[in-house]
Parts: sequence; C-alpha cells; structure tokens
Amino acid sequence: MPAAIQDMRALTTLPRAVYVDANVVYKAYLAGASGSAPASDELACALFLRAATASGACDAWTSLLTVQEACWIPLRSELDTRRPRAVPNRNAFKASQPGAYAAAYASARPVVGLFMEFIKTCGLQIRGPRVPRPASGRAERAVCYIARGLLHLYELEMADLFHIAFAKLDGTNAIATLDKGYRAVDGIEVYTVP
Amino acid sequence: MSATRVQDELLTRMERLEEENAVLRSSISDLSRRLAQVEADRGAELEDYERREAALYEFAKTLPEPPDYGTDDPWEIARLAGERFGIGRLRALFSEE
Repeated sequence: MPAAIQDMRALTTLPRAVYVDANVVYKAYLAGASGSAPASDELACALFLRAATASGACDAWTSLLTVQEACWIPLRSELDTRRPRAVPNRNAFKASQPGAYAAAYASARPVVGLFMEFIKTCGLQIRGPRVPRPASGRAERAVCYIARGLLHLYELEMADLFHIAFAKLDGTNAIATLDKGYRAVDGIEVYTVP
Repeated sequence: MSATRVQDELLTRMERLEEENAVLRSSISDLSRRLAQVEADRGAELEDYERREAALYEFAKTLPEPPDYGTDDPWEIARLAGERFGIGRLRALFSEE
C-alpha cells in the first residue's frame, strides 16, 4: 500500500510531528524571496512551514542531511552553469581551470550563506532522531538498517532513503516533501502538493 | 524461660546481626569502590571533553566571522536574498533539473 497523501494546501490539522524535506525548505525560501509573486508550490511550502513551525503547532524537524542537501543545490548549480561544455565534470573543471572554478565557488558563497541563515532561523528543529542512549551508536546502525531495507523496496535517491529512515526511527510518520518518489513508500504520510 | 536460654538466644541473634553487618560493610565497600570508579571515569570524560572543546574553539577562531545580515527574521532574510540576487537567478540556482 502506498503512502497516505495529504495536500499541504488544504490542511485543517497538522500532524503531531513532521519531518521536512529539503525541497519544502527551499521552495518556502523562494516564496519569501519572490516578494508578492510566489509560484503556487512555493507559496504552499511557505504557508506549511510557517504553520508547522508556529509555536506549539507541531514538532517540525529536519536533519543536518537536509541542510547539506539543500545548500548543495545552489552551489552545484553555480559550478555546473559556469563549467565550460567541453569540460566533462566538476572535478575536471577544478583541475583544468582552478581560477574559473574558484570564481564560480565565490559567486555561490553569498547565496548559500543567506539560505543557510534562513534554514537556521526558520523555526525548524535541526536534530537527529530521538532515541534512548543516543551516544551508543545503535541509532546510526538502525538508520543504515532501515535505509538498506528501503533501498531494496523502492527506487529512491540515497538521501531520500536516509530522510525516511531518520523519520521512522524518530517515530515521525509524516514527511513534508514535493518529491513524488515518497508517495510509493508504505507506512508514511506524505504532506505535499499533489 | 531460664536465664541460660535467654542468654543463648541473645548470643544467636547477636551472631546473626554481626553476620548481616559484615555483609552490609562489604556492600558499602563495594559501592564505594564503584562510586570512585564512576567519579574517575566522569572526571576523565570531562577532561577529554574540555580538551576537545578547547581544540574546537581554537579551530573556530581560524574561521571567518559570519556576516551580519541585520536580522534574524527568516522571511526578512529570504526577502533580502530576493533583493540581492534576484528571484530569477535564485529559482535557476535552486532548480534540481
């Protein structure tokens, strides 16, 4: 049975806890950056994020993996956009044209810096799954166990497998994401823009 | 009850109390040893934590100061990003295609 789908634009109640995926965070950011003309999915994510992070509304959280994933997108975009077509990949770009690579990297820094500040301040908790005896390393092994199991069942990107594993280990069933791949996953509730 | 019998009973009770006392003394001694070990472990852990914290502080001093955006309101930060970089560029950068 696939995931239960909830339209984040038509919510009457919020889940008790929700794990927020990277795309919801950056779409909300784009809504804020666009001023008065956000795209409909951007607006939906911004309103959802505002509602979920309002004081006492629900336990809205994400992991450092989301921060890394979300911040890598604009940095990678800038490096790829500035890479000459004849250069096959970013490593070759850095090796063959270090000056141009450094300039591209420098150009992305302020973009990523501001976005990271948004993530830090937007009210989302950034944490790992709440587990007993967190220093024991058992939680990390459990995350790998769950992610490996999901890998055999679904065709999701690696980071998505880990997002789901974090949420499940925490006991959080609701995941806010725009990624359609999550909809196939049994045992979760997906808050999205269908 | 004869005086001898009372004396015998008291002696038996005293012996039992002395045995219990010895067991208790041994438990206390064992607990004291374990407490000392826990305190030693905690002390070592704290010392290790303080050493790592000092190293982290030294490392942090080598990093540039974060910029002051003049606000900690996330939506103001987003608005600032739109103003500074343009929403067209931001949308292109955040495109995962």
